[in-house]
Amino acid sequence: MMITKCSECSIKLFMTCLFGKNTEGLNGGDFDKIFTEYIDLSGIGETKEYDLLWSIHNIQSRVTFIAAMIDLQKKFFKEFDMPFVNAFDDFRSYGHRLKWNPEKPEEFLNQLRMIEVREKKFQAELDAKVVELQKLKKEGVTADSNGRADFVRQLNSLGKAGFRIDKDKTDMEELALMIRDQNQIVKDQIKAG
Amino acid sequence: MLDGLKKIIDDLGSFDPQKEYETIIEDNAEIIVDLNRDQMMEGRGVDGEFLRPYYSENPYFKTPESAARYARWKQKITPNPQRPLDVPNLFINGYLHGSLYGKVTGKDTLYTQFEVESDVPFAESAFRVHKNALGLNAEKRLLFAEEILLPEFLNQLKEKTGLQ
Repeated sequence: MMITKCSECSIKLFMTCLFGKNTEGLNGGDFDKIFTEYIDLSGIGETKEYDLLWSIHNIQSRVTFIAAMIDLQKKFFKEFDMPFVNAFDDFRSYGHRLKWNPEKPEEFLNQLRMIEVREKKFQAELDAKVVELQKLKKEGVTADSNGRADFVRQLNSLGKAGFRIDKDKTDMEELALMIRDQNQIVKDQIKAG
Repeated sequence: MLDGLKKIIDDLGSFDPQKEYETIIEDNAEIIVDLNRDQMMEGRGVDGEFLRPYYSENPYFKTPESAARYARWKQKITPNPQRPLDVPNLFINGYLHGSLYGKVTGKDTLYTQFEVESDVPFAESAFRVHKNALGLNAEKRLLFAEEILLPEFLNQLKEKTGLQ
């Protein structure tokens, strides 16, 4: 029988086609069509975009926060020749320990410069995520971008969440719907805080 | 949901500390003007020095006696332990003090971007004579920064970034 849709394709066969690059088991069926159906049904495209956006949000929050705090300290120092010590704890939350020695005021500005240098890696990470997001939006989820390790990890986490999966018996339609359900549960949990 | 998240990220990326300072200062302009009034009642100027000219130096008074008499009267109607007898406070009935208002000028610092002015007809001559009367001195600027500006700025920053 020619396999043309997710409900006819087992997880095992899907993995053979996707990662083994062997589509013989489809008996002439079109794997690209099955893959597209899987992406649509599971909502993976949207989930990947959401995950990326969430990462970007978290990094952007840090970048914005630290930049604003450094700006605040520089302006306060320029105005009063001392730092705003009350905000030192806010730096500590991000692993930066500021010290103030009134006898060596210039050292304080050096500490701020060091923080700026150390924070550059987060800006680079942010830029990389933005590029990744742009690529995802332009190309969508492709078979090439769906790694075997990620796929297996996903099966394992679904199993841990209580979904019963048998690679031979569970078909790709069922798997896609499990993924969608699980992602919705996670999103609801995030919303609920 | 994705659109909401995108908007939050865009807002974060365009967060401009200087604009936030200006907005907070504008929203609290009356507090700054009040601090300037307090400062004048204490006889202090923007430079932290006493307001000049002293009554005894002011050519408006024809004799030293009339200047001293005026100084005693001022001390009686507006007593303030921090202001020496000979130091003016530009307050008689509160009209000049009441006419003061704040204006954000938008320079790239925390406070010099803010100016206090008055629009009553005689204010110009009063402040031309008492050149150091308008504007907050370092002590008052620090008070405003530590009590109002920076706590409010930190609150807004934490609210926008969701960070605590």
